[in-house]
Amino acid sequence: MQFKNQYPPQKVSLSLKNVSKIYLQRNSKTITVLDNINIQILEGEIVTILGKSGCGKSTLLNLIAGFENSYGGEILLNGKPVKDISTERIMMFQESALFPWLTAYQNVEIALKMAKVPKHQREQIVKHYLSIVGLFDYSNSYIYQLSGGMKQRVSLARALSLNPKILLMDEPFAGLDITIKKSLYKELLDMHKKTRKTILFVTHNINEAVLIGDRVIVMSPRLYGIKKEYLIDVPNEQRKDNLSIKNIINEITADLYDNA
Amino acid sequence: METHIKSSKKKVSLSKKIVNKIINRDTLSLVIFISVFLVVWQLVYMSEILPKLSLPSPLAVGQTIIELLFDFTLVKGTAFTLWRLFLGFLLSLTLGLITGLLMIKFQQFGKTMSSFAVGLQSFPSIAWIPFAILLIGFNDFGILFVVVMSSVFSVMLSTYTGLRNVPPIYIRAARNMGAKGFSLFRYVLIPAATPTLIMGMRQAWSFAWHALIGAEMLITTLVGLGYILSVGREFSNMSQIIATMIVIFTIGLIFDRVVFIKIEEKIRDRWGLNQQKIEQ
Repeated sequence: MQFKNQYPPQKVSLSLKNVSKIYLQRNSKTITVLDNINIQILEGEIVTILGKSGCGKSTLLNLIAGFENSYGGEILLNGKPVKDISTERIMMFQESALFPWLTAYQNVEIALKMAKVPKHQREQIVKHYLSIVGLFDYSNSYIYQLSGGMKQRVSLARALSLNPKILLMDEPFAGLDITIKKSLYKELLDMHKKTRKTILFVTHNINEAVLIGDRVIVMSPRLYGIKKEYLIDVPNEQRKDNLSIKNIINEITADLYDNA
Repeated sequence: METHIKSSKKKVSLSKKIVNKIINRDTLSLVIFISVFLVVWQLVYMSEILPKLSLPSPLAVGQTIIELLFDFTLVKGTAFTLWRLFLGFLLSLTLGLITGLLMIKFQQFGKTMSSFAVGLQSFPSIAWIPFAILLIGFNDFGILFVVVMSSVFSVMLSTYTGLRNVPPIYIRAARNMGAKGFSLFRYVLIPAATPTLIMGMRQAWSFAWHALIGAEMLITTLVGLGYILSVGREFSNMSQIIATMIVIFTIGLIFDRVVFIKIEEKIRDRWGLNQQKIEQ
């Protein structure tokens, strides 16, 4: 069996050590959302985080992105502690956070504009990423004119335009049609082949997690953390009907739904 | 790859477009409406239900309009009135925007001020006049004061709610992309709040216009459309009064339809807010 990663193991990109998150309620009671999370993500990997609603997977992503800043333990990106929001860790949301007053082109461009990138350089970058997601011909469309799948593709282009060190995806395909999802998986994987971006992908969809991820981390709300990790070393193109993949999916399904 | 795209425009040949613009259902019905109105007016005049001195014929009014145009009374009056309107509106915009921003910055102030603003927004503009006369004076500044007080709260409130209602996800995404402080404000907050801001400006303009004519009638300063109205009343010159009323009506209509509605529609189109079609 071929290993998916053709390169020897890269260095660690994102490292979580004993990460925990506790919310303090008004009545002085505490709610533990995450406890003792330990994850190492290598450069160029796609890691999917799988869990039911409420298992803390979005919280985890928010901590990594810097939208929440108080947590126990350590989060390191390339060895440096994660302190706040940064363009090194860019998040793609489930609801399209594209700006309705701008065209697709301008939406991808805006991040570069705010970063004061000079105009002709911006042009090159925007065209490049819009082409990668196959939407260059829709550059001048306004957001309302795009379908759900197209909006997420533009969001992806926008996220990539700043060349983040890690791409965080928070259930980005959750609201979409199954056929569109499938074409988006393929696009994501093609993009990943070209760019070798480190991707952390959160989802509640077991098929999605196993089809996309090099590694699948299954979370459990009861444990406030990681239940099990699966290494998927079947190349993406062969996963659809692969027997070992089907076994993994069945195993995870049993795990997730039997133990509530 | 799915390429479904919603289009809002159909392709029509250029010549057809021009003809459609001039001879369309709306213009036709407008012409018919005005003609019928003039005919009814003429009939009422001829039937003498109201004494001929009280209600002049459409022709007489038409004549007066032309007279007043040519001796520049109307032109001068319109010019002064519009000048006051622009000045007052600009002042309202500036004060309203600044206060609105302060209301956002200082939350408690915002909460308290918005309650007052809502009440003062619908305060009758005429009721400001005695106050203005005694506080400011029986002059242009008094008129401006009334205009500003009648319209500033609309701008203030639309700034406050417009900025407060920016979806948090836009702000999150923008901050993630590196926007901070002023660039966040300029590239995200203001554009996101623009539809609400424009609606507020349109309302402010309308309130300002209403307040202005009333103020000009009661704070007589020898110039302005409101002044011409009050003179018309003093000399029992109904033709002059109706002629001026028609001018006031037309100006109000032109600004609202030509300027504000166009801007608002353009923004709504871009945002895709005009896509809803209610099926019958």
